[in-house]
This record gives sequence, C-alpha cells and structure tokens, in this order.
Amino acid sequence: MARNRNTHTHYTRPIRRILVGLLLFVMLALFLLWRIDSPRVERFRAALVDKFVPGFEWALVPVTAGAGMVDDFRSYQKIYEQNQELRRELQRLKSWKEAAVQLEQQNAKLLALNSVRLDPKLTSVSGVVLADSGSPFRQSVLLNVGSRDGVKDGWATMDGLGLVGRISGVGKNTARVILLTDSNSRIPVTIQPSGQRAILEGDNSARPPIEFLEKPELVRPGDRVVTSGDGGVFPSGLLVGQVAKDSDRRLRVQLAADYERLDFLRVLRSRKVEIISDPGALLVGKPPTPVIESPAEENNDG
Amino acid sequence: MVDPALSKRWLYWLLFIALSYLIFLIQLIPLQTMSSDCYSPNFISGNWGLSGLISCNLIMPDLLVCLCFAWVLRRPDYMPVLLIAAVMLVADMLFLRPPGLMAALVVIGSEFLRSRANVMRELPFMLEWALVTGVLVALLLGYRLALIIVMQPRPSLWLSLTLLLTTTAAYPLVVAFSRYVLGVRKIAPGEVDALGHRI
Repeated sequence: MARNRNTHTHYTRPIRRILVGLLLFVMLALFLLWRIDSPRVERFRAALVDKFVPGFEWALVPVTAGAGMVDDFRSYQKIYEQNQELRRELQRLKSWKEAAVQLEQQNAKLLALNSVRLDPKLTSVSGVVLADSGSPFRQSVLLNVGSRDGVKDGWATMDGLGLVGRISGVGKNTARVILLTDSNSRIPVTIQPSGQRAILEGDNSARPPIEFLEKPELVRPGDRVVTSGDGGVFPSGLLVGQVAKDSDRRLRVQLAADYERLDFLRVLRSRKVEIISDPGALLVGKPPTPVIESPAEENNDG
Repeated sequence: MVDPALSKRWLYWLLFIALSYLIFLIQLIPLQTMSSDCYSPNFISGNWGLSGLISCNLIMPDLLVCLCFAWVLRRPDYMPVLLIAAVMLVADMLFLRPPGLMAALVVIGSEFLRSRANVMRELPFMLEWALVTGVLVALLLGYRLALIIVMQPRPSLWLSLTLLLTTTAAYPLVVAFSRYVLGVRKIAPGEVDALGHRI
C-alpha cells in the first residue's frame, strides 16, 4: 500500500509542478496585461467589485452602523464639554448667519441688476458608502450608485461640507470614489483671496500638499481652497478646505469634508464642458471653400 | 462511499473560503476612511503626543497571507495551490492591487513553505515564525522589485514596513486560532489517516 502511494507521488509531482508553473504564468500574464492595457482590466475589476461587494451589503451596513453607534456612545463621556463648546459655537454662528443672510440678499439684488446667467445648475445623485478600499495603500470608497443611475467617470463627489473626491471606475450598481487623499488624486484648485492656481496632490496623508504654486508667499494659512475648474474636469467653485502650514513649512490643505465619517455622498452631475475648437466664423470667415477654388480662378485670369 | 479523509479535506477547503470571505468583509467595512498620518516618517520624527498616538488607526495585518502560510505549513493537503491562487486573485482585485502580482508571489511563497512542511514539522514554533517572516520579507521585496521593473508607482515604504510588522505580529495569533479553534494542527510523526495510510 505504502509503495503504491509512493509511486503515485512520483507520478503526480512533475504534473503538479507544471500546473503550478502554468498558474504562475497566467497570473503574471494578467499582471503584464494590466500594465499594458490598464483601462480594460480596470473595467473588469469594476465589474467584479460590482458583483461581489453588494452581496456584502447585508453585513456591511449593520456593522458600520454599529461601529458608528459605539463611536457615538463614546462621545457621551465628553458630553458636557461638548455641550459647552457647541453653545459657544452657536453664538458665533448666529452672528455669521446674520451676515450670510444680508450678503445673500445683497447678492440676489446685484444678480438681478446684472441679470447674470449662473453656471448650469448642478444636480446630484446621492449614494451610501458601501465599502472602503480595504488596504492602507489606497484611499477610496465604494458608493451604491453606478451606471444604472447615470454616474460617469470623473464626476465630483461631495459630502455636505466639501469636496471628497472624484468618481473613478463605475460598475452597474457601484462606483468607486478616489478620495482627495489618495496618492493618485490630482485636483486643480484656486486659493481664494489671492486667486492663485495650484494642484492638490494626494499623498496618502490626511492633509494633502499643494503643488505647482507660483507665488507661495501670497498664500497664508487659513486661506480657502476651492476647485478651479481648470481642464474641464470639475465644476469650479467647490469648497475643498483651508490652507495649513506643515511643520516643515510645506503648504497643505485641511480638508473641509468630514473624512472621519463618510456615510452619504453627493455625486454632482457635471455637464460635459463645451470645448471651443473652431476659430469662430465671425472673425475669420469660412476658410476651406475659397482655398480650393482659387487655383482655377487664377488660371482663368492668367 | 465518500472517502472520509477526502470529505474532511473538502470541509477545510470550504472553511478556508468562508474565512477569506470574512476577512474581505472585515477589510472592506468603511471604518477607516481617514488616512492616518501616523505611518509617515514625518510623524515619527515629529510630535509623539499622546493624543496623536490615540488618533492612530491600527493598520490591518494581511490576515489572508498569514492564514495561507499557517495552513500550508500544518496541513499542505488542506491548501491546494489552485485555492490559494483563486482567493489571492480575488483579493488583488478587491483591494485595488495590481492584479495577479501579489497572488503569484503568495503562490511562490506557499510552494516554498509547502516543500519544507515536512522538515518544519519537527522544529519549534519560533523557527517556523522566523521562516515565515523571511518569506514575508521576500514577498515585500519581490513585490516592490516587480513594480520597479514595470515602472509602476510603489506604495510608500514606510507603510509597507508597518504592514509587514503587523502581519508578522499577527502570525502567531492566526496559528493559535487555527490550531485551537479550527483544529488545523501539525501532523504528528507516524500519524495515519482514516484508511491507515501514513500521511
């Protein structure tokens, strides 16, 4: 009996080795395919996640809610301090509210005087966060809205307070949001009082740095950072956060969105930006037709 | 009649799939949407305040790899290579890693350990732990090397090292869990299976 088994292993071992080799080959080929033709494989990944993760929803939603409750419960310990703090904040906010109402009235009057047509109105789809990226190297969340709801790649995503990220990867029922903190995220921004353009580069830290700033001396900590809309990727004027200075004097952005608790996110339906490509008939006229006919006319003349 | 040894093996295959589902679930739960600054060298050199430490999120160890290696060293027949490859490939896809690379590396690592499972049977646990740590380091190096070769951006070294540390620390726990709760223990010398064959 024992000898039988031995001959058996003698027989199967080379076959097994070939099988393992084949398996490795297939997986490395998949890796190379991903390197060469990333969009196709990423689309496959989005489809797979789309199949896989909503199946977890029954478990993900109650567990997340439970964890949130535990967090809330912990905060009861500090309830008195929190109450005091909220009172103070309320006082401050009341004065702000007064200012805001006045400004809004003034703004409405001025707009009416100018009869300005505002930016195409932004409509939005709201989604619930289903899952995060599952690895510490990536910062992204999965929403439960997808191509079924008309979500497209590249749309901006906000929570109630500020910009959270952009859609990258849409499945039928799910869409992935690359957060501003992800190391692949690059967003064109304007820094408000000085009006300087810059790029917000995610680097996996909670406060992403500001890069490509022309005159850093004009920017002060506390300045507002909003999206600039350069490149036609994002609608402009969405609040991103405030400038903060790092310990090594690097400018970073304290994000306005509450990244600690991302539950419901709004995906802004951005309209396709119309690109002006032709020179404009009024200025230049119609170029093509005279060019073709002119040689014949010249011949006739001569 | 169903071979009892085979049916038991089937049971453990299903158990492994169920466990990996559970691990996916735990990792995907959106509790840590905040990226923590605690794992950058900047933080370490800078302010080591107590409040800063508390606000740190613990990085989740790579439990799936731990489980793979622990089982391969104990019962190689419970972890067929196809199962490892399939589960790791799904993990690659779900966790947004380059698909196939980590799966291939884990398969290589598990084959390396599988060929040494017989020898490791008689050695103490500390040696096994050291060997597994060595394999994990090799995985990390291989992963980064492959990404360098195809010129892809690599995850931050600091974060990878922290992950390596937590994974290494989690390994004994995973071993204890599979030994005492799931009953995946090393085959004693001379132990026979249900039909009386030497395993």
